[in-house]
Amino acid sequence: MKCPNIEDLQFSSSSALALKEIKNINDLSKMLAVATGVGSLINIFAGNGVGKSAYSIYSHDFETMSRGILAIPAISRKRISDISFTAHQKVTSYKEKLFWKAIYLGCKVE
Amino acid sequence: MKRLLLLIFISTSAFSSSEVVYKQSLLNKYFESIEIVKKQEKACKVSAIILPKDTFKRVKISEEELSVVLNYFYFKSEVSCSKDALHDYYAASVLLRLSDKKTEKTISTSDELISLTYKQFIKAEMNFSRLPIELKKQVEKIELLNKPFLPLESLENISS
Repeated sequence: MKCPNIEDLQFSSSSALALKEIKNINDLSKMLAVATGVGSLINIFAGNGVGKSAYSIYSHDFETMSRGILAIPAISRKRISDISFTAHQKVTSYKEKLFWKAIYLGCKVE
Repeated sequence: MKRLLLLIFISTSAFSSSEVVYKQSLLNKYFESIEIVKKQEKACKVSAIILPKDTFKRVKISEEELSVVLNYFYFKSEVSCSKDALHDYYAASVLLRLSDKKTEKTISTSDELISLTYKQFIKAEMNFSRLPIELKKQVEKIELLNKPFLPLESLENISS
């Protein structure tokens, strides 16, 4: 869906709260992408006396990690859609409803 | 004496190595469970329907009550549809957290993100509980509400 043009949009307090929740999701998502990456592997080895013995890391470990990290944006997207639906129900103005429907449907700027 | 020291060194290394293998295995399960949550939520969405216009034809319901009811059943069906995947995630994250305190921050972050659906469900359940008992009984009998549905599309279809 193409993002609509919405002029003179004013957010109500419930919209402002939903926007804050979405920002929190984006922050969590970014934090996770960074923290769950190589950091997780490093944590495991750093705490176990690297150099004392040999370890094996298989390509499967890296693949599993990558798939987990790649799943995060979709999980975040689903939660943003849920918040948009709830916000859409709470607002009364047509423009706000249009805005939240666009976010719910995951509109793309073209 | 040298043999004893060698034995101690070998056992310490073996323990350390198996500990790493164990933690790596938990980490793999944690990442796998995140991917499974994503796949399951996608499967739920694919199977979701748009509720027909006459879903509430035998129920006297106001616009505001309709919103509360749809919100409740939407999140209830979402949580129910992804229940196994979510439980697997929580088991994997708890085990990883217990095995390695350094993962605490990362896991808290993913817990917070993944638990948002549950959080929304609890809020929706609170609002639903305030509805009149008779209305709750009537809508609970509607089978379509207990399966995944597209909430906004359904709301628009019913309200149109």
